[in-house]
Amino acid sequence: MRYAGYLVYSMLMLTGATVAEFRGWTMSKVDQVKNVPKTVRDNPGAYRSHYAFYPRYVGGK
Amino acid sequence: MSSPLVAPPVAKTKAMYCPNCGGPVEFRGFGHALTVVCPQCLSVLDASSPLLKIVQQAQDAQSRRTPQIPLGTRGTWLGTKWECIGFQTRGVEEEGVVYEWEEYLLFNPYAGFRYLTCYQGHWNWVAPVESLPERRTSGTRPAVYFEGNLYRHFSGAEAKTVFVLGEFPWRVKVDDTVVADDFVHPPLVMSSETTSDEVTWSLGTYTPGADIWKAFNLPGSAPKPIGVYLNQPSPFKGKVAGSWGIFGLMLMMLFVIAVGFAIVSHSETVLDEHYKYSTADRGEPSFVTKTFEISGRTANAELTISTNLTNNWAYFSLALINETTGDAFDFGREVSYYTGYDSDGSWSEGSQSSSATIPHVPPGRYYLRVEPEMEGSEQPPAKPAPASGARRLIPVKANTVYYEIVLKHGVTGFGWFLLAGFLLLIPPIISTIRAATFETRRWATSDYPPTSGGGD
Repeated sequence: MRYAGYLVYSMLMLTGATVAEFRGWTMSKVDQVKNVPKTVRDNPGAYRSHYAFYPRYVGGK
Repeated sequence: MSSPLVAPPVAKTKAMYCPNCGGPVEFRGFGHALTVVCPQCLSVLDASSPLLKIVQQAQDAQSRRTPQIPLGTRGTWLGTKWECIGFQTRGVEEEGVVYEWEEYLLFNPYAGFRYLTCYQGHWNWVAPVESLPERRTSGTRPAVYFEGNLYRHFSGAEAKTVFVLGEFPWRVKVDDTVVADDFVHPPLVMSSETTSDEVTWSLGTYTPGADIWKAFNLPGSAPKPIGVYLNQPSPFKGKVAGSWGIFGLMLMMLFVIAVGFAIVSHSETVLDEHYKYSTADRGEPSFVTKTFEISGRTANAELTISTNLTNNWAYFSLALINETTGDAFDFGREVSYYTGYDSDGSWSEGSQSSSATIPHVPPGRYYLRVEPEMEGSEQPPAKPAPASGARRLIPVKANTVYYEIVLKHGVTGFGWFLLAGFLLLIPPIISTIRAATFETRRWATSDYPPTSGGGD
């Protein structure tokens, strides 16, 4: 079949997008952390965020 | 069809002798030949005279060419048997370079004459046409219309006969010249040959060399074609439109699936709170929200922070923490918005809000840890000026932001569908580029190279 390759490729793209959407995958930069201590609830400052030292933009034109 | 009582005629050769070298000269053309070339000394002889008058003395041995289809070779093409009886090479000179091609004369006593031409491995089956094509124009260039097809002018040049061998039904000799014009409608080509006396037209059909080899049972395999020939059918013809058609179909399917997701998604707002942060406030800036329930299936969640920032920025370190398991999604978002006027007019940069998609969030009880930060967060707040004589501290301007955090679970993000749509676009774009490149290569050798708008 003349377009078999493109059809298979297209179906893979469609299936991939559907599965990714259904599973709730994203391309966002989000880290998963295990076993956060329950004390954070009472002492939020005790938690050290992975993004605490992320470079900030302080620009403007 | 042959009768069982009468055998079909078998073409036989008649032999005569070359008046120049005395070598045998064979005739295969059933008396149609007007010119015959001695295969030994390459003298061109007048076949219409019984004594084979010499038309042209022996051709220079240096000019001898070896036909790929030896004279006398028979083959079947489209159900008719043909015999190769003549061979000539002709050439055109452009900017000091001679481009040569081969022409094979085929004969069948009932069907007449046909030709095979070969240029750099590109073959054409050529038949003379009995009616004249109609002269037209295609855009600004000449064209001819013949049997329902418009043929666009490709090139015109003076073609000179370089070498002849075998017999021909017309008077031919080395250095004969004609003005040759080609009009293309791939895989067809209409060719005209103009002399001072007449204009002859023929119709060529691009033919793979392998088919010629098979039809004439030639040894080995056909040489690979070099480059793109003027009437070579594009391997991408029809593919471009087809691939765009499939793209359209797949895009529709993608759209339907995306809309389906949007309809059945159980998007639910699980947190919607308003907060204020000021660098003037003393104490720990981080805090946790109330606990909230995320229900339903594992799905992504979308957190949106909307602020009142103007010409300022704020950074939010965030963690969505499962109260039961202690698993957390840790991320950060910066919000910055700047606006003003300059010589170009008003401008703005950034946005007063930002959102983040948190993947694969299972149901459970969660709370959010928020740690806002702004310029001046790490400096001590301004203090009242001390008594005179003491060192003055420069007061630090306090920054304040009012913001709202909204967390939704089960939100349909269309990012994957957009990405899939973009990836679906790649094959048809590649097809289109390759087809255009093929046509550019075709027309590059024409009188209308693409740089002057000929490859359209």
